[in-house]
Amino acid sequence: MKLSCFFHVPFWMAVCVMLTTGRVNAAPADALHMEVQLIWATNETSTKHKPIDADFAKRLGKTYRWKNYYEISQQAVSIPNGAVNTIKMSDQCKLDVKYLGGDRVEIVLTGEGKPVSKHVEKLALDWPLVLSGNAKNETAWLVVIKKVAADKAAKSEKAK
Amino acid sequence: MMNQEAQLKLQAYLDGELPAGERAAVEAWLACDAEAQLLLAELQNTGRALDGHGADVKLPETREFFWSKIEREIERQEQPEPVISRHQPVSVFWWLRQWVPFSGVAALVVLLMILVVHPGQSNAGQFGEMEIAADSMGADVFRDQEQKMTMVWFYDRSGDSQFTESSPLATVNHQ
Repeated sequence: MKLSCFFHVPFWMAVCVMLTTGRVNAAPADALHMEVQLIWATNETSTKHKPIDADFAKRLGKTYRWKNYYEISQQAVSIPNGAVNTIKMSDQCKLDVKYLGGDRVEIVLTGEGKPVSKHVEKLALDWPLVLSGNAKNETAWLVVIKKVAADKAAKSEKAK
Repeated sequence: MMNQEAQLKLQAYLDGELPAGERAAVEAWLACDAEAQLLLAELQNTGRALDGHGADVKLPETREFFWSKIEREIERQEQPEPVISRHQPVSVFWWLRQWVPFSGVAALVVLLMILVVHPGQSNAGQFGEMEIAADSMGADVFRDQEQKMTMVWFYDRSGDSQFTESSPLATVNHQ
């Protein structure tokens, strides 16, 4: 069999696709676009607070025991590679988020002026990181950190 | 013994193919050579015998047409031969036989590379490090593959932590 028969069009197409996907995956993003929400979880209903997205509330309800989830604050940020952003969620809570590249982030949770925890996580679209704990009156607080697409982050910036 | 050249000259004399000068010389030679006379007589007898029994070959076409065919064949052989390409046209089935196995292999390779290079969402749920700042606190990590969420639950180990219950991170007005 001639050697030339192995260098066929589909073979070269596969090589090109592999090189392309490898190159795309290897290239680090310039910035990480995120949305951070502070959510109050409770079994009581409240008319003074804005409910979160119904679909996301349903997902939270699969794991957490509370029925209602209300948004306390929300922020959209874009963190350049290697940079650190401080996100103030409330008077008692803030996040220091450092983008490590490759969708990896280092998050330091501070409560009441004291560091609570440090997390290194890899964020992915539609795979949020939820930091949570008990609150008063058998309620709970949740800090939801989501990676968003660049176009969605741009829309959020325009909405502001 | 008469040589072959003399015999051929006698045959030519008998056929009438000699010019006048050579014909006279042969006649003078025959007048004085008995062996030549006997050979001439034998040749004449042989000629008479063949004349009566030879089959005539008749061509199916006329003489002019026959010679024109020969002339055309000669001209054809004198023309240069056209170059015949060694590459025969390839049929669709030949291409299919070549494409199918290599396409399958290529598709398999592409699929494997996509799975390896783009591991998808599952990688987000498997990676993570955590440090708790206070010894009085604990944390549970739950990576829900079904709901696609990573959840960290902080709890108070000592019971008097400022982090939970007494000092929540979210100040909510219950009104």
